[in-house]
Amino acid sequence: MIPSRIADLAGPDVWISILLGAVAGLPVIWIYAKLGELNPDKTFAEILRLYLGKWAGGLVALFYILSGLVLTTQISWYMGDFVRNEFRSDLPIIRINIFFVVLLAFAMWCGVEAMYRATELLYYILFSFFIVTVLLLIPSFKPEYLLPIMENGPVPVLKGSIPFITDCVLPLVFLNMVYPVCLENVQEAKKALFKGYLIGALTTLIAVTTCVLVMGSSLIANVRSPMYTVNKEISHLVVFSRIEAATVAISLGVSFIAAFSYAYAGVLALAQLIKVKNYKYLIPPIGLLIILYSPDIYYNTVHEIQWDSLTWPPLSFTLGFIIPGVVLTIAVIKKRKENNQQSGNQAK
Amino acid sequence: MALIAIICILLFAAADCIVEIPKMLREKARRDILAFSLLLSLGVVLAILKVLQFKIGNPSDFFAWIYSPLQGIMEILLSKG
Repeated sequence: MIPSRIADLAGPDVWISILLGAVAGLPVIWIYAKLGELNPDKTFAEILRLYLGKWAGGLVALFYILSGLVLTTQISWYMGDFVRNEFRSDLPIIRINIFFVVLLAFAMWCGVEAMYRATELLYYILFSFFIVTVLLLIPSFKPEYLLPIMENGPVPVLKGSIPFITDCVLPLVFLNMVYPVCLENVQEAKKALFKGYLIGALTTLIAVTTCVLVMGSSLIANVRSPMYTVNKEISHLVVFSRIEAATVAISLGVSFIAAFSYAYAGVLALAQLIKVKNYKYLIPPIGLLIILYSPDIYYNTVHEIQWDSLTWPPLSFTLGFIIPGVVLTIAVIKKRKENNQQSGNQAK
Repeated sequence: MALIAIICILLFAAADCIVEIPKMLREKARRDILAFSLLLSLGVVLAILKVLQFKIGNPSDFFAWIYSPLQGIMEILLSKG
């Protein structure tokens, strides 16, 4: 979906849009890195309550919790919708979502370390699938699809970076629930955050550019899952045909990892807000709620496209840039005040 | 069909309670039990209402309502050309 939205706005210049978006996202990641550095033993929910006060921080944390859980529900919807559209269209969507959410609940029960180690393993497998599919598509590249560079000026390129920033960069705020607390060495954690971000941006760049190179931006703009459609073009030898199953595997794995991150952020933040001893007890009720809302969180595809394009950008901007920026400013001011007080005390 | 769904939901809730509440009682975690029962009852009530096809609220509508003043700007920003 992301490639089609970027291709719709930017035309053949998707790669410039993504590069611009990646560069524009660096200050955002810097904000998260800095916030984590200043409070290395607190999750984002605790940071919010620390700097914004108990009540305002609690309200903002509630907003994040709701958004995190809504995002998880949306990802389950994407999965159910994808399966319905591409494979069997007669299963009620809720049964597909139940599989996904039950697996998610199990992953959360096993805990963060188990999940992220599984993520490492999945990453190697899925990334190799990805590289193989891209390499197999190279013979079908038609460079003229990239050609009229900046035909309509820089404005479409800037507009094209908006889907990238709102979908690939700003949701990384939910990683702040995990980032400072679970890692021992803060400096290495910062580097890992930046490295992960850059690798993710590079992967998106390669994926979207591949789609456009094979099929052209106007076709891609109208296709629902471009990587899947593009991978149907692979049919070199008998062995290397029907590789779009690899794309399904990649999208399933990536969606699961993303859904886990959002759900873990939501549940852990809720647990810390209510000051519950163990967040694992809250998993089944919240899982029930997610399954409940997942068929209807988007009424239909039209509503999905509309919500994702019109409501999600301001929401993600607030969640991912404005609130962390405000909190970071308050944190820096507090730290300066503390340093001044300390040097004042020492001078005495 | 609706009855089977309601029975399934209640079975799930009962199984959940049987598995989790003893653990929470052993740890004497009162807040846990309170939060757990609140959330679970909310989930069960909403699920039963949904099975009986009442309209329950949708969080994405909530967010759309919050950001509805910005819709005009977003449409301009994301229009082609």
